[in-house]
Amino acid sequence: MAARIDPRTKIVLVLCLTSMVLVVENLAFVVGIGIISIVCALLLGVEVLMLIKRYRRILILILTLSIVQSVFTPDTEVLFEILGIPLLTAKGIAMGVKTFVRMLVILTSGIIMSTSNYRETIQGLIQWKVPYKIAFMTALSLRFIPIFTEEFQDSMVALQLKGVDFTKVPFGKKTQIYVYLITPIILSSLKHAEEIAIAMESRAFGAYPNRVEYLVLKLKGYDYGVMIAAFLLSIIYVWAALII
Amino acid sequence: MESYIKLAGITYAYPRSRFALKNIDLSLNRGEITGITGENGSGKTTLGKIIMGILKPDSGSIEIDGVDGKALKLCERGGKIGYAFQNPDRQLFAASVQDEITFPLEIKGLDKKIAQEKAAVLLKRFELNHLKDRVPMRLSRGEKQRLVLAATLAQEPGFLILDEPATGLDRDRKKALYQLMEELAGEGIGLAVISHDLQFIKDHANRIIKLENGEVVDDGC
Repeated sequence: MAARIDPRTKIVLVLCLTSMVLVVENLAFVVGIGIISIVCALLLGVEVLMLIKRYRRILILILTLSIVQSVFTPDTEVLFEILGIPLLTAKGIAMGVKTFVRMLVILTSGIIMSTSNYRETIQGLIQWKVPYKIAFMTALSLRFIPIFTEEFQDSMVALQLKGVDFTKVPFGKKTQIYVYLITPIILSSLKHAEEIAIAMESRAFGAYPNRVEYLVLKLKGYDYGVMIAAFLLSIIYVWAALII
Repeated sequence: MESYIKLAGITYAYPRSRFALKNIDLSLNRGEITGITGENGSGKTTLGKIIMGILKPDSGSIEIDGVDGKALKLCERGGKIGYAFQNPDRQLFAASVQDEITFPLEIKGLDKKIAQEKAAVLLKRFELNHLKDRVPMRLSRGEKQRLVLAATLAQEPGFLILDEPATGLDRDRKKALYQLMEELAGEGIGLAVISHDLQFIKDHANRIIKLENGEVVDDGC
C-alpha cells in the first residue's frame, strides 16, 4: 500500500510533521516527532540503508549547526566554561538537540516525498489547482538538480586535470577558482533552459489556457484516512505538548 | 619507444551495470600515436578515464612516467597526461580564449607575463590568435577543440588522450588535426586517440588497440 499512497497524502503528512516540529517547543515532544517522521518514512517504503545514506551526507552540517546553536544560547545553568566564558549551557544543549531534530525532520520529509515519482507529485499539485506552468517549472527544477550536481563534479575534475590542486591554491585565489567553476555551470544552465524552451514550444506547451491530462491521480479511502489521521493527531500532539 | 603509461590487470565495473573492463594489460608509449577503437559501449572512454584517474579501477595497477598511479593526485596526473573530453564544453572555464590558457598557469604560480607569452605561442600554433578575446563558449566546436588542446598543452604533458577528437570536424580540420598529432608525436609526446571512426584510426595511428565488451581483442603493436 505504501507505494500506492497518493503524493498529495504524502504532502499533507510532511506538512503536518514539519509544522508540528516547528510549533512544538517541548524537547521530549520534538524528539518524539523526529521518531514519528522516521517511522513514517519506513512505513512509506524508504529502506533503512537509504535513510542512513541520505542522513550521512548532511549529518556533519546538521551537527555543526546544532553545536553552534548550543554554544551561542545563553543560560544561567552553565555546564562548561573556559576563562569564565560559558560554552555549554543546559538550555543551549536543549536548543542544539531541537535544531538537530528539526533539521532531521525536514530532511526526512524530503526523503518521504522522494518515494513518489516527481511527475506524480507535480500532477498532485496540478489537481490541487496549482497553475500547471508553475507546477511544470517546479518539476523541471527538481529534474535538473542531479544534472547540475554532475556538471559541477565534472567541472571540478576538469579543473584538476588542468593541474590545479585545490588544496594548494592560496586563499586569495580560492574565490577566483569558484568563479571559474561556476561560470560553465551558469552558461550550461542557460543553454539547457534555451533548449528546453525550444523543445517545449515546438510541442505547443502553453498554447492553450487549459490542459487535459493523461495521468490523473485519484485519492483512495486510505488516502483520506491517512490525511485525516495525520491532521487530527498533529492537533492533539501540539495541544498535548503545549499543556505539559 | 619509451613506455609512459603501463596498465596491468585493470578491471572495472560500473555500479548497477553489466558492463565491465576485464583484465586490461597495456603499455602506451611516448612519441607514438595509439588508436583505441571499438563499438559504442566497448569501454574506450572508460579506459581513458581510468588512465586519467577520473575512475578508480576495481583491481590492477597503473604506472605513469615511472610513478605508481595510486600515488598521484588528479591534478598531478593532469600535469603528466593531458585529456581532451569528448565534449569540449566541459573543459572551458574562462571568460576569454587567452585566459583559458593562462589562468591555470597563473593559479599554479607562474608569472602573468610568462603565462601570456606561453599562451601567445599556443594561440598562434592553433590558429586562435584572432579569437583571443572571444568568449570560449561562443566558439565553433572545432575552435573549442583546438582551444582545449592548446590549454592542455600549456601544462606540458608527456602524453595526450584525445576522446573522439574528429567528431564534428570537416575534412580540412581533420587533416589539420592529423598534422598536429604527427607534430606532437614528433616532439616526443605520446598520443592515445579514442575513436569509433576506424578509418580515421587506420589512416593516422601507428598502433591500433581494439576493444570489445571491455576486453582488448586486438593490439597491433
